[in-house]
Amino acid sequence: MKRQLKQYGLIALLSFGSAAAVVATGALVVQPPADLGVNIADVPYYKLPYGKDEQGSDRPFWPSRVKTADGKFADPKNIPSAAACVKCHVQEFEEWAASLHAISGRDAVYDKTIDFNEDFKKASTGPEQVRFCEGCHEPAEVILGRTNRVVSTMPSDAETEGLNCVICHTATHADAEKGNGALTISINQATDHLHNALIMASPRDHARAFGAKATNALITKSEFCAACHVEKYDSEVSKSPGSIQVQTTFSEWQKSWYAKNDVSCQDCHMNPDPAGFVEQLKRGVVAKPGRYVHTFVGSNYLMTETALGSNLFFLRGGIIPGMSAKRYLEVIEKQKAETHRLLKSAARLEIRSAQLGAGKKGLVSVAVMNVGAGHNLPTGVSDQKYMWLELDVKDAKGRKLHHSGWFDAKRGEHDPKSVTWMERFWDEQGKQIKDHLTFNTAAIDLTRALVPPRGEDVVDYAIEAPGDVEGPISIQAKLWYRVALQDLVHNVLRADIVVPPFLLTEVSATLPVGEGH
Amino acid sequence: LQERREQHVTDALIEPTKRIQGAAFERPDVRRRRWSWLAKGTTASLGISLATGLHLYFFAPFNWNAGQIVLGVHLAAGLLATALFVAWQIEHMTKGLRLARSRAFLVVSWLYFALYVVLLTSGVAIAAPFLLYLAGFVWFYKFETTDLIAKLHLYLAVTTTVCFFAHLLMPHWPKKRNLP
Repeated sequence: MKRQLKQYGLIALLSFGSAAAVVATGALVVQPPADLGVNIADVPYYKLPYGKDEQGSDRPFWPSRVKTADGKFADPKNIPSAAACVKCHVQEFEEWAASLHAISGRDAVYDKTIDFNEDFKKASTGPEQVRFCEGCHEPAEVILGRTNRVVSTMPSDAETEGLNCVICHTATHADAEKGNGALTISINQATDHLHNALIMASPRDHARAFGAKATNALITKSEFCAACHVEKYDSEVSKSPGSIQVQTTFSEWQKSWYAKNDVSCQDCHMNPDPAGFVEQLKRGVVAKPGRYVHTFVGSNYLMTETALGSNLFFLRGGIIPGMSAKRYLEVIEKQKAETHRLLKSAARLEIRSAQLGAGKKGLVSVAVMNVGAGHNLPTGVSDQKYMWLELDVKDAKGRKLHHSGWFDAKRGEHDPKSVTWMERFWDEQGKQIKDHLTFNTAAIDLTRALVPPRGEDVVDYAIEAPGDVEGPISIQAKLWYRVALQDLVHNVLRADIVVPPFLLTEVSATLPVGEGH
Repeated sequence: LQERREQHVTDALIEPTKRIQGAAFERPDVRRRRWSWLAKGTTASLGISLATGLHLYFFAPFNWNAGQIVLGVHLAAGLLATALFVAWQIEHMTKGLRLARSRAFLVVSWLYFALYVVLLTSGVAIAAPFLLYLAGFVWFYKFETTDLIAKLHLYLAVTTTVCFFAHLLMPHWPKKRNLP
């Protein structure tokens, strides 16, 4: 045998063999990671008032459709908080921190509304019924088993973080048709077994925990968002005898031009420049963004309104853990700009026709066009998020010929006679519910059909001009949007804050008397 | 006897070329010992790296508690192997190139060397985010990039192991009858 082979080959074989033997022994001796889930039976006093499912299995998170992949509760020690993720994913964390997803559980409006609903059914299933809301707003709390009359599990930092990193990045299945939080979360696999430094060299285990193939495939689809953006009430969560649709954002999108052209929720709402993307779509250019961000820019301008000062922190439920107040304000300021731009890109108004003659009944037609949103305008929980049209018609002397759609900035009320697009919740006695008392809702209707994607709603105003009217006549139309009724703020939040409206778009025109255009 | 014969051939080769000057011949044992220590250290650390690396790729996902320790050993052995390899090659190349007479041996050896450089570079590239993290900087590749480099690293590790034995098996120097 050659000297080199004999000498170095032997060293190579010996070092390889001994290392392999040590590694194999170590792998057998060192225990693998333990099963992290907590059995339902191990959570004392946990109530299951809704019984078992059709297969006879427990439904620990019902009436929310959220569930864990192994059917077990999560262990509070093992749910990673977003504040842990920020150590490496600073950019994603800061994008997310400014979003509504980060505060979906801690936002004061939601928090008080939950208490309000829970109190309403305190004597019966109130604390457990709240799982319906928490399944989407604070899923970590539900899967920890803390949404219960007697809370017997330890808290976790993650439970106040709303829709935090771990919820989306461990989801493996979503049911877009059923909604009501129909997400399956592999939460009990979501633990890193490696030290952060070692993850840097070998991210495979990290990917196993937070980037499973099923997860990565799911989170890019609109169906994923639908799990929570489709909402139905039935007798288990409301006073409605049958199932009623409350949120239809996904099905609105599904029927739209956007779905047909493969423009997903993520393409707009996780776009680094959402408004720019909408403008691009208006030009007919359908191109996926190069990068997706975690800002989830939407329509809630109130929760980014930095002009509210300390009230904003109150509304947002304080500062997100892992972030300084200064930086938090900076990212919210950026989110505010993006939110305003996106809202401004959604709608357009056109004065389609106007005929006003002295001493005659005239007609002004205003078209409200949904030009930028991939869903109805407004969408979501539209008993609170609503839109109305203001029309102001004056003659040359400044005399008002018509004015509807006013807003009283002191009382926080808008003209009840204005043309409004909103959902109305009704109780069993036929009284309108204006403070989102979901558990008391018996029926829902719309004041006017919501404006579909790339659709329009033409509003006709009959206006009588006096005989001495002087031209030219000026017509101004404004489309307003508001994220909450004042009743909710007064009755539930019990705060002296007026929810300001947001001007989506406006249009104005002048025309001589007696002419039609 | 074989070793002595080979040593004789080596000396016979060196003598007529006159390329290695006096100092090398004055203290041949010292040079050989240092060379030998680097070569053996490199070989041993690469052997450990190969065993731990194969475990990481194929078996660690079944038990990351053990895998974590193996990963630490792999990184340490890999970085040590890189340092030793560089130091050893400086000596091995300067001397070995002058000694080698077979064209086929040179081609295989250069190929082997190139593969080793890529293997170790890919290893250092994988370790870079880890080292940076330890130094207080957070930077990492996209997952897909790390995955691609890791696959390349694996394939190269297997290929270079084959080349390693081929290199050792091939006649390094011309046969005795061809000597001048």
